[in-house]
Amino acid sequence: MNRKVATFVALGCGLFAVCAASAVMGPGLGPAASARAVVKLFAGGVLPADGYAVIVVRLTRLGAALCVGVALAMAGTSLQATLRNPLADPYILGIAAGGGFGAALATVLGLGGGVAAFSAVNVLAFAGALTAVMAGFVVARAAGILSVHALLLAGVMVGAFFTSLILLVMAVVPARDQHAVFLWLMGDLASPDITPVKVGFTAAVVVLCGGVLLLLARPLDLMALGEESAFHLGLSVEKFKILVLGCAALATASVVALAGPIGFVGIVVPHALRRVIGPRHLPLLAAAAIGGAALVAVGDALVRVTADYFDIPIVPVGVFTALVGAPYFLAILRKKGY
Amino acid sequence: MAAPLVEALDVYFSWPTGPAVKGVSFAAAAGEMVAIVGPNGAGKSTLLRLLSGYLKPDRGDVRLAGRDISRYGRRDVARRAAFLPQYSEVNLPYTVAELAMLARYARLGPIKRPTGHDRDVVAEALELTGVADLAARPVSQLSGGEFQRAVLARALAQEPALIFLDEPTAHLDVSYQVQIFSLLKGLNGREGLTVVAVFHDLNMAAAYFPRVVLLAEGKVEADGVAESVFVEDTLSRVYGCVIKTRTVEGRKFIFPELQH
Repeated sequence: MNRKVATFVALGCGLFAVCAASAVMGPGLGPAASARAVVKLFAGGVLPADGYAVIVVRLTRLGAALCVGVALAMAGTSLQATLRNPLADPYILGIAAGGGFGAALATVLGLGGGVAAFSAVNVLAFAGALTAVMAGFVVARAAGILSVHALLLAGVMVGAFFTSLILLVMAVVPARDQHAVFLWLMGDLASPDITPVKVGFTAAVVVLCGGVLLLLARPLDLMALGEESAFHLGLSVEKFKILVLGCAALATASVVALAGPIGFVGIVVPHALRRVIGPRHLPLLAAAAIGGAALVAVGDALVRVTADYFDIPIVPVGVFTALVGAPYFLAILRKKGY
Repeated sequence: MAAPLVEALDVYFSWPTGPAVKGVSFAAAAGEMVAIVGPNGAGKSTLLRLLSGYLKPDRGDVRLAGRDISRYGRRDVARRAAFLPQYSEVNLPYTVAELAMLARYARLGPIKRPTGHDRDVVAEALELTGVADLAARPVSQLSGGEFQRAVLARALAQEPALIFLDEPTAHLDVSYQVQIFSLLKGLNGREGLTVVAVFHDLNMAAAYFPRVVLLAEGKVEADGVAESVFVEDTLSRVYGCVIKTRTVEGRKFIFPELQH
């Protein structure tokens, strides 16, 4: 069995294990009873009301973690190839800051309502994220050509602009609102605001965008040769860039709107897996989806269990992923294996 | 008479910094080997990119096999014409075989899996360019000469009828230059591969290319057999320095007179 296959088997087993553990761990219902309840739920059985509530909360949160992991890892992989920059992550186009400003605005203005199942925070975060990306596109596109260099620079500037808008909002609102905004900016799956309907909708968007990115795996391979060579090998480069950046941005914006900007998944997962899977994007994107989902699910399970066990406030999962991700990235860099 | 394989009809192109190609007409028939030469800024690389469809002319038409090149799909063009740039980047550590297999995109598209035929074509391209032994090596570990041959293998794996080369050997030593041009000449003779190449090295052009196009300031200054284009007066005027030619062992050599 070669290294690539072994990696996929390990990732698959890991993901299954963490999903199973997440579903049965936690307060309210013991592991054995939880396991029976989950099996019964998936078999289409009816659970008693109290058991059902506990399990649904856990599975919703697990579902959100999986959406976030899949979206960020696949978007990060695609952006690194398209922008031809190893530092690219899903937030490099200003999505986190744009989404953060939208969420901050909705929070401090105390906006109610929203669209369908989604709250004003979700909607404005999504709108802010896409506004930031569109601003970068408008700046970087001239005469029918989207310059990825200009897009990178524009993304950083748009991000800086929205970050200062967030700070401006924070500077003028009461401390209670500041804390709410601050928690959102760290990226959190613990919020009761995450409902099964929202997770289902987000999952649909992520699966759709992820599917398109998988179909674009071979063009992503071509982009590593530079845009001119990709063009001469038969790729419609301009159409491709719009499609791939659009899918990556949409997937990222939808999970940011759901759970805030959870950091480092989008940069660590592709780099770590490229070392074992190799540079070809079809296996890499597939592995990144599994690995990203597993990483966020593990992180969320850990922060949840430690909070229960030590009876401390829950650490936002975004803090955990960055705490683990940054040193891991530095270790890879040190070995120059990326 | 069949239409030329590739032709430019009175094309103009300007960069933001100024005009580069000012009314060039050029045609290459199937099976020709044409060198495009001229001083820096003469518009050689720009013309090559107009002919390959990468740049769109401001005025005039470029035709591939008799049809406007902008009316082809990208993959349609790539099935007929390959392009070997002066500098190639490969950002990720693909193996030599993976790199050449990327050329099959023109035929496979994004989804279809490579067949035995695709693998045969790739293997043959690696064999021809002498990098078959390096097939499993990441391109990031190749020397300059090996890398340029791997990129040529990729171009050949497109199975093109026409190949454009932009100073493909500018940073290779003499032995690699000879290897690559002998290979192209062989493919030209055996399979009728049409070659259109931009050069700085006039002696290489004279040695390998039956036809030479001399560009100066965005226009065609001379077009014909190397013997008629490489004339001392014309070259001296176009390059702005005194250029001499001598025939040694039946080959024409071109060299500048030294200034003291």
